[in-house]
Amino acid sequence: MSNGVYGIKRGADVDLSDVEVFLHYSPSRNSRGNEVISKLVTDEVLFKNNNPNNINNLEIFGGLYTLKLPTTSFGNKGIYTIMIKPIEIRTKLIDVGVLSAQPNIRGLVFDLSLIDNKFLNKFQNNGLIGYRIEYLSNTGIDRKIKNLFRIITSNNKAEPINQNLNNSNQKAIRYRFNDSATFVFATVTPNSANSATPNIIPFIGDANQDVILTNTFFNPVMLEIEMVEYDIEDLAIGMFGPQTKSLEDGIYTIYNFDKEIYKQFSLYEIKDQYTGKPLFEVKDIQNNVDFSKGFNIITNI
Amino acid sequence: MELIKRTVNLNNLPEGDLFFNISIEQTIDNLGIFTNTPFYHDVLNFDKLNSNDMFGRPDNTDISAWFSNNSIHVSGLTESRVEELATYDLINKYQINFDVEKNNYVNHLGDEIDGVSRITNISDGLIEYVFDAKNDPNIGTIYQNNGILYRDTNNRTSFEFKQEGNNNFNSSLEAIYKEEYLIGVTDVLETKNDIFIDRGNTTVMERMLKMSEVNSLDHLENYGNGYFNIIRG
Repeated sequence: MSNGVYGIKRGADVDLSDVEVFLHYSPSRNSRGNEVISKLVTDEVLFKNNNPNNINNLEIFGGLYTLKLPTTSFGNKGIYTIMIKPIEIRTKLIDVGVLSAQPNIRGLVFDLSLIDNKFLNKFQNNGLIGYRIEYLSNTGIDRKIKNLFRIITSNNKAEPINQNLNNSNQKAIRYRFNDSATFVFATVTPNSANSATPNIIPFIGDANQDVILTNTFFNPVMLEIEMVEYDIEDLAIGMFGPQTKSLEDGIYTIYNFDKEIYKQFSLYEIKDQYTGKPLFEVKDIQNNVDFSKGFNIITNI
Repeated sequence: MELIKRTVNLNNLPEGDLFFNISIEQTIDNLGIFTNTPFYHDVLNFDKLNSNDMFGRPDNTDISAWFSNNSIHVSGLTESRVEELATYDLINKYQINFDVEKNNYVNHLGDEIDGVSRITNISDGLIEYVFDAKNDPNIGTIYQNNGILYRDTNNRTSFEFKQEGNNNFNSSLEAIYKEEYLIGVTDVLETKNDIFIDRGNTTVMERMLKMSEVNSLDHLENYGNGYFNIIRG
């Protein structure tokens, strides 16, 4: 037994509104497949489960979600790859600034009027803690800046004030927390200067820069579903299932473990037409099944 | 990222839908403590949001939504405190309705309470007494809303009070923000005043005497839990 130890993994109880589901299809391993990843409607394919320990109320069972895929859309042979990841909130940085009372606290400024209504409640004071922020370049085609992200460590509604600096005739915009304001000031990490290079401040964003906010409520999951014509059970039937071979007409029948006809083949020889010398033995699949070769029919003769 | 692989036989495809149960996990970390600072105007409001906040508090409610409103009476067991209400009367040590203490105070709701501490009932091995209860007809009953009610019976003491939850007295409704140097720091700074200061000039002979107690290099390093500042050449 150990004291003071705790686990850091938990079954996620994320709401479906915070989840996105994406789909990619490839007909085989030999091709890249769809070049465009399609987005599924989360509510239609992903479902929460109820916790049986609370039978009187609806309570999410953390960690266990059920994915539903309609066979009409997932009925082709090939590989379907489904990615379940936290939803993205796309917005723009209104400014990057410091707190008036704490000029050493730098942060990002968001405008609530630019936030999609369905995400507004996330911007409640400190509702964004733990969100990851990724950055887009304002130019170019592939705009996402690679390998760069920050984590939001706090956020509060704030307003700008034009504040006197040390030099009495100098003023600058700074921010102070005001819960009536429509701007949100968020601190991020990392943003502190390295002590060895104190004049270098890590990049945390720029005014007017497009950004992507992503929650960290759960770790992304990827599901690869391979639709095949034969699986290991088919092989087991072929190897270990009941079989009959009709010596009169050469029909070779394989049955499943319930002794139902699974596959039927014609067995025959090809002989030299002049000498009658056998050249090949052929096993050809029989498309028109001969039901008179049923296992119970044969074994009860 | 976790990759889950499944194989589905097209020959056994059910009509309708395919269902897969998947596990979704969260790996968590602790950001540590935050720094608080008051909001300008010292107010909080919700009117800029269009739906419930992350704690389920509805939009357009006032600051009281942060506080507990549905207080109920709760009870438990403890040790007797009746001795604190004993009087100096040699014959009648425990007197009913005698205020051992009177104390006017303001409760968590901001209400003025004329609090009293007294024994309210003694009968058949039962002693009921209160601390800081409002002096009104509900004192000593289950309707008492302030202070704590005790019942001593059969060598057992139970207490009962009305829970107060989050309120003005125990909650700070200020903005909190994160200072980066405190990331991962989960406790407030602790000052230890058990400091060893040796000015080194107590006597001219003291250093020599200490050296005479040292027999080896290990002793020198460990002496006085690091008393000597050893510089390795």
